[in-house]
Amino acid sequence: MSHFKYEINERNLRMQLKDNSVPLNDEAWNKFESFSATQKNYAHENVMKRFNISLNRNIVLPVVFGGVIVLFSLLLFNFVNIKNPNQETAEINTETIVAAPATEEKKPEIQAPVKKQTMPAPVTDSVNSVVQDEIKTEQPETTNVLAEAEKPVIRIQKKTDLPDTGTAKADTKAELPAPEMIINAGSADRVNPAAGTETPKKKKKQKRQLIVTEPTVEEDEQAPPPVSQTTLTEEIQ
Amino acid sequence: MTLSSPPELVSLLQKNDRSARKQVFEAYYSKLAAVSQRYAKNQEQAEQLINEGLNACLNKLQHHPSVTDLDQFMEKEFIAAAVAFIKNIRSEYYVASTVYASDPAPKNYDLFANNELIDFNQVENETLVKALQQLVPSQRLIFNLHVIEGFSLADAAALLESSEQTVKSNLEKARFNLQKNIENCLKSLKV
Repeated sequence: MSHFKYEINERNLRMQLKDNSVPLNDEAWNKFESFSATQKNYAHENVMKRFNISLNRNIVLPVVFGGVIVLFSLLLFNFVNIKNPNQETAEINTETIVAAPATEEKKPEIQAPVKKQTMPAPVTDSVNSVVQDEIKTEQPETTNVLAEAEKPVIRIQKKTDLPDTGTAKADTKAELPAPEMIINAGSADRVNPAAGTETPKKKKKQKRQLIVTEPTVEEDEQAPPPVSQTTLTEEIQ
Repeated sequence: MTLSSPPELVSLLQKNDRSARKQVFEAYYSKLAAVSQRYAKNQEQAEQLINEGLNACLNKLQHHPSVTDLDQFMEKEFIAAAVAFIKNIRSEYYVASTVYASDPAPKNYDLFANNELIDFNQVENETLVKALQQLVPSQRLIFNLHVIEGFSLADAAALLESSEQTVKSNLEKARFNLQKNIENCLKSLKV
C-alpha cells in the first residue's frame, strides 16, 4: 500500500489552466508567417509524397502475414516432389532400354572412317601397279580357271559382282567405267585404281574372300606370291 | 477587432487572403499559445507547436465552409494537431516513465522538513505549467486530455492510439509525478 496522497484539486487546476493566456506580439505573427510560407512550398512540392491510404493496421498486418505464409508455402511446394520416387526410377530404366539399340547401331558407322584414315594412300597405288602387271600377263588363264575350277587367285570383278551396299553404290556410281580389282590373297584388298579410296565396309569383304580363296599347289607355282598389306607397308617404310 | 463571420472568413482563407489569416491568428493566439505551453516540454517546443497547430487549423478551415462554431472548431483541431505533433517526436514520446522508486535519502535528515503543508490549490500558473512540462510526453498528453480538456478515457485512448488500460496507467503516473514536480518546483523557488 502506497503512502501517496493525491492532494491536487483537479477542478481548480482545470479552471486555472483554461483561463491562462499568453500576450500577443508582432514577433509571433512574423514567425507564424514565415513558418506558413515554408510549409506552403513544402506542401506544393510534396503533394504526391504525402499521398496516404488510411488502412487500419488490424487489416494490413493479417493480410501481410497471410501473404508471407502463402508465398513461403508456394516456395516450399516448388521444392518438394510429391511423386513416388520408385515410379520415376522405373520410367528412367525403360527410357534407357529403348535408347540403347540406337546407340549400338550407330557405332560401326562412326568407327569406319577412322580406319579409312589409317590406310596409307601410297600402298594402294603400289598394290595397283603390281596387280595390273600380273593381270596383263595372266588374264586369259585366270578367267578360264574361275569358270571351271572355281579357284580364283586373282580375279577381275565387275561392279555387278560386288555385294549390294548403300555405301558401295554411292562410291561406284561416279566411277562406273573403271572396273574394280580384288587381290585374292592372304590380305586381299579391294582396290580402286582411279582414286585409291575405300568404303567403310571393306573389312567384311576381306574376311569373306579370305575364306573362299586358297591357292593350290599348281597355281602357287604360276601365280606370284600373295601381297599382304603389312609386307607392303614395311617395304614402303 | 471584430472577427468576420465564419463563412466570410472561410471564403477569404480559400483565396489565401493575408488579412483573414492575421485576423484568425490574433483572435486565437493568446488562448492557443497557453494550450501549446501545456502540451510542450519547454518554451521553444511551445513556439513550434503554436505555429504548426495554427497553420493546420487554418488549412483545415479552408476545406470546411460549413463551420458554425469557430471557437470550438479551432480548439478541437488545435488539440488534435498538438497530439500529433508530440506523438511525431518519437524519440521523446516512446520513452519509459522516469519514476525513480528509490532516491538516495540523506543520512542526516530532518524529520519535520517534509511535513511542510503545501496548498496545491494556491499554486501559480507558471509553476503549474512548468510542473506539467516536466512530465513524460505520454503522461503529459493524457493528463491534458483527460483532466484539463475533459476527454473521457476511451476517447483519449482512441486519440492516442493506445489501449484504455495503458492510458489509465499513464494517467495515474502523471498525477503522482505532477504532485512531486509541483513540490520540487516550490522547493526550488524557496531556495
